[in-house]
Amino acid sequence: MNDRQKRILIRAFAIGLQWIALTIALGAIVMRAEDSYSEIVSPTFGAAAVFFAAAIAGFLIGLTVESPRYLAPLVILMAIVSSAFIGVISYAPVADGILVRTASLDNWVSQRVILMALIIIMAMIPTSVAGNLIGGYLRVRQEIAPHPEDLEVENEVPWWEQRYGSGKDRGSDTSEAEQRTV
Amino acid sequence: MRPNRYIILVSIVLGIVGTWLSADAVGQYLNMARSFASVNAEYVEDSFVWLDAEHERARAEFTVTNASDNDAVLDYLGMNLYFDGRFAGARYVQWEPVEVPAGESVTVDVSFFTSITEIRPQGGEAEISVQGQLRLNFDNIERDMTVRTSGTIGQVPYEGQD
Repeated sequence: MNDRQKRILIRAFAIGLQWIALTIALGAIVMRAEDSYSEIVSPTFGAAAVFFAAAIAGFLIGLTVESPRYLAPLVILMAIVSSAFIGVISYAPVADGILVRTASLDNWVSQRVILMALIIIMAMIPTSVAGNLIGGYLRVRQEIAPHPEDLEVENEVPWWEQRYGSGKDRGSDTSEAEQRTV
Repeated sequence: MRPNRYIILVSIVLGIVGTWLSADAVGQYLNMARSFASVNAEYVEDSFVWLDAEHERARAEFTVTNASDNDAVLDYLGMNLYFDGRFAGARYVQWEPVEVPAGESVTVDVSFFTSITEIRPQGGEAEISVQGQLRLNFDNIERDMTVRTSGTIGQVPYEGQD
């Protein structure tokens, strides 16, 4: 395994770890947001806390994941998995053999999961985009931009650090301008 | 790019807190469900006695069993009396809360008053039954629990005062 593969592996591991951690944190808030459990589980936070927590989670994952191609499915998956935490708490007594699983329980759980997933996605979309944009700025500022090996061209300055007209196209631009003058 | 270590660290801390909150929430719910499923109230056999020949007042005993891990307080006990399935009276006296420690049973006295004077004379021959509900308040659980209870007592003639 070369250095580049190691870096990719470490990056994927870090993103995976962050995704799992944020999903669990968001799921915990979802569990404690249900009004139906307010007299059973304490403390409870309410739906506003879910919206707020989803916004923070979206921002944090957006800061880490560079590519929107990977960010979008990660955000949607986080919303679905964390909202499914309602099922974890609702079916816990069923798994323990205390309560009986009924169709109405299934319906209630699925309805709440869909509702929570929608709330979370709505909160996460703008903040994950914001995180992604700010993350790019931070990455450049902190000089943690892609390693030259990742760009497959050694010692080449990334395109976002080049001045306009300083690249290979400079000659063609000039000749075009001259032609227009003529 | 290399992920920012501080952002990852913050996320991991949030994840640890979330894991604890999730486990605690499930634990609280299971504790409540187990407690609610571990409570039972039963009529004590042959404990029903008429206190007067007119079948106006009676008393019976009920055993409340708390097999859960939490201490409970029996906040309220409401009990109705039926003669051959017809409402005849109830427990009308104000209830004093009774403590039911975890894993123990408590026997409570319930006094009845036959408020339907029309059927009061049938008290000695009628099939007597009771139906009621208990409200329990557990330690560590905010929500009260209501348990329904019923019992068939049978025919109980007046036997006179001891």
